[in-house]
Amino acid sequence: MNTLVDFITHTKGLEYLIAIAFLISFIIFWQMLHRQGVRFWVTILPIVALVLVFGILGLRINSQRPSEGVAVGESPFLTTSVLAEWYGPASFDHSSHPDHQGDCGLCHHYSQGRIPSCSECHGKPFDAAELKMPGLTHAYHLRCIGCHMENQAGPTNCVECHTQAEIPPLSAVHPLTGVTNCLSCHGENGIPGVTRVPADHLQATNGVCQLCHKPRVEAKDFAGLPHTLAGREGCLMCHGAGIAGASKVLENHTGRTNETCTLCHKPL
Amino acid sequence: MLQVGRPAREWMTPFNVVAGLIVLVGLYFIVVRFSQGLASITDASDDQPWGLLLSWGLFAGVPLSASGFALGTAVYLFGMKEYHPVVRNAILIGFLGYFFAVVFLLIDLGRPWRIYYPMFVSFGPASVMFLVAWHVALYLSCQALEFSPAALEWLKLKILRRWALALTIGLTIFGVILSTLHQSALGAMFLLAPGKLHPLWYTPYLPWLFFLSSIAGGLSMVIFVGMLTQRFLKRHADAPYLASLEPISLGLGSAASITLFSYFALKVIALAHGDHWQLLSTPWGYWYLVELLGFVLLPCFLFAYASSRNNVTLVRFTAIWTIGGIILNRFNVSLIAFNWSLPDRQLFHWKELVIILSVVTIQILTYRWIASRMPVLREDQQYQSE
Amino acid sequence: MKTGNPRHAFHRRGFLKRAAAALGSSFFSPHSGSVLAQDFPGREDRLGMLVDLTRCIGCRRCEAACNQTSSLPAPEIPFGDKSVFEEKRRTNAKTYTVVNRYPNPQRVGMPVYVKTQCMHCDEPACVSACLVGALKKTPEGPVIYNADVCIGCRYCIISCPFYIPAYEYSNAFEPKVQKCFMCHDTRILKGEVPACATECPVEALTFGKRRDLLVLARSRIMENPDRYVDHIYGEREVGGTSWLYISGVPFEQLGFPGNLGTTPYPMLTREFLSFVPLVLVVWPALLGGFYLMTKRRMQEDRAESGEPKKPEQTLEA
Repeated sequence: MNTLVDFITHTKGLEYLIAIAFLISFIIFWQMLHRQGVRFWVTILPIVALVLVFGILGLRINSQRPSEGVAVGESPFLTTSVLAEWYGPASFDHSSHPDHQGDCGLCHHYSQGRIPSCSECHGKPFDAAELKMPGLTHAYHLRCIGCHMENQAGPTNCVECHTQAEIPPLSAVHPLTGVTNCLSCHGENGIPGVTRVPADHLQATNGVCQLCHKPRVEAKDFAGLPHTLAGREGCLMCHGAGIAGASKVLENHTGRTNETCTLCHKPL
Repeated sequence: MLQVGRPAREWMTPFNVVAGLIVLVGLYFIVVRFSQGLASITDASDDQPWGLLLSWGLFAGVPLSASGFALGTAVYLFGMKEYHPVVRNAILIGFLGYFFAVVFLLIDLGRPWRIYYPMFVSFGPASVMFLVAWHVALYLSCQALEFSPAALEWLKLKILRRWALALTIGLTIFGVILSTLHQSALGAMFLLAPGKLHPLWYTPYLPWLFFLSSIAGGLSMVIFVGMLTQRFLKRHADAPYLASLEPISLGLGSAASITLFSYFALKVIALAHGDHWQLLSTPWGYWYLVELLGFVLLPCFLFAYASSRNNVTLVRFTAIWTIGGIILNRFNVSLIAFNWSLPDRQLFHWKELVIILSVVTIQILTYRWIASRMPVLREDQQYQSE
Repeated sequence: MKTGNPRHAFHRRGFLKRAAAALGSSFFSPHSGSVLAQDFPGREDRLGMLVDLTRCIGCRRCEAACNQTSSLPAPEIPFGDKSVFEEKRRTNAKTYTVVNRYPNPQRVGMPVYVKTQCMHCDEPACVSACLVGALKKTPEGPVIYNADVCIGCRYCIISCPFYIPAYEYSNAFEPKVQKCFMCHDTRILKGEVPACATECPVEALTFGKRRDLLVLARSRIMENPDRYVDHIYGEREVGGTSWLYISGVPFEQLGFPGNLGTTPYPMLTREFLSFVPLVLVVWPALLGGFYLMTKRRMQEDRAESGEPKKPEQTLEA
């Protein structure tokens, strides 16, 4: 028992049981003092029932004694990333800091003459057994951003150092108005003909998608519909083959189904 | 028991029509609550999870139902026979008060169908709420049994009635225990929120303040409901009951006066305990003084004055005033002064008010239904000799 | 029965001894030493998190990671959008953690970002409030929740001094209490660092054993006395919390509740709970005694007035 709240839970449970046992025995005691024929049994029967019920309850409370839990060993906890990598690597050029030439210790701290590389000390990503030593990424970030913020000079935003490489913008596809769940179309069981999220993105949720994939278009950038949607449920019934003067869907739209059309094309 | 054959238009009194409409609107909102969640009818938020439903139904409803245990103790344990004519009425008021407190609780709980969990499925003995759950459940059953002789007389079940009567003393003692514990437990629940409840109301004495004031509340309810029965349910009452009402009101008034005086003293002691005198000169302090002087000390003096002058009208007026004071105090603790430091608070939603109005109407109708059938305001002729 | 082998007999006696000792200790374990509240130090190797507010850059990757790993619905404003800092947010049923921005009174233009989530108290108010034991303080440190027994009374939300737990008010059929569970089931038990700490780019969040984190926090303050205020928030507040904060700006200016004291919250109701068995035990004797006295008096009255004495007369009629 490690915590007061566990202790109270346990002792109070037991106290209540004893108090109730007392109450029941008090009634029996009382009845023995005034033995009263029929009434005695009228009172005794509910008592027997109560004893049974509380006996069962008592067993339950005692079986709920808190476990000792999982031992937290000395082995380091793993840092398993849950977000896809958003940024490309940043490259640091010593010549971009001409003012600090010769003052190597400013960044290469605790070095006393010798100039070690960062990874010599900050080799591991993160080690719960060695908390004082920031991991390599963190060491870089702390050193760069910390100094830039301190002096209010130099980049502090992610994209000023990192490239946000090869992220397909949503502009190629559709705006986001009215869209609540990316995966309902782009997920594994999404709409046929729509781009699937890559395999390493399958864990992603909506909120995370939009971190990288930014909409660059709005609905007005797309051809509007010159008619209402009332009574017109299947776009492709007319537009698929260009029936009755309806404009034919574009070549690069093949495979699209009704569900996706109105994401971009709204009635004018 | 519907009295078959009675023509329909006799039911269509203005009171019944209005009551029926209120109940219908309330029931509609209750259906909405159970199909769309609490957000559809309440203003409950993550900062203020409890609202008007509990403030009224539980925190104000329970102390006003202390009538049963207060009168039960006086009559059955201390042998004050002169209060016997009203004891059944007091128990009925108490029973219905608890029953509808549970109804309000069921409306407000997130998953009311699990209301029996703390009794049979999973236990949290370290919680004050655990005690409240147990005590309300036990006391509700206790009061149902205490009231059962009246129902059994009405149903003419003689043997069952004798068994139920045999339990009277035990039930009364058990009822006092349970009342002491859960009237105070309702106050003790707020002991866990020292940073949220305004320091003028937060005090380690909170459980005892709740307990003491509940006695005054219960006594006032007996006076108040007694007055209503005299006016509206006269034909269901017998002569001894009607004759005893006024002297009993005077007696209960002086008892309530003494209780309120102790309550006042304890409230001042609590103030000293926390050393919060300087807070009295803040806006919250003025509000606190309104409660303390206007709704504790004033009715205390009024009760004393009225009962010494045999002024029944004033006693009855003061009883209503005291009931308002108890409600005010419980609202202050559970709603108004709770989260006092947060900006932009929304205290309640009008739909909550509608639901409360509707449930209270049902409560009144239920009371009328029982009191006009069972021997509550009168003694059953058959058993009068006993 | 003949044992023959003396070692056997010795073994058995040893076993009995051990069993008796084990039984004894299971009965008396709370009493080994003092039973004062302060003497429950918690499990020594329990886990925690150190938040260094001087490091946080407000990138909200922790929020995104939390959203991701807890499978929460998408936020109204995307995680990359800095406009959320315009107003103060709190945790809610769809967000276990939020980062708020506060002005820095010492350095204009260098705002302080404060991550808020469940503090995972050592002696949690919510656990002592829960009447069905749905909330539990795990020996590992996190405070977790079992929706299968929750009845939805929301007393936990009332009791939390940090305004953290939230409720699904719009959910009619399976409303749940929602708060940070410190990735207890999803990551800690698998030997992984909680998601927010994993994704923090500047190690503003440091995950580890609470006692190690306290040493780390204190050494940071000692090594940079100008950079930090001399206060580890969570070391002693409400009896200690698993999450610890160090900051360059006094905590009262960063929206931290300042008046919580160091008393563990379960202590606040403990005294009242102790009163309960007292009433259960004393009242029956007291009231029963009164009743017997009254009954005797009334019988005497009746005898005096010449009524026939009924030995079993009670007052019930």
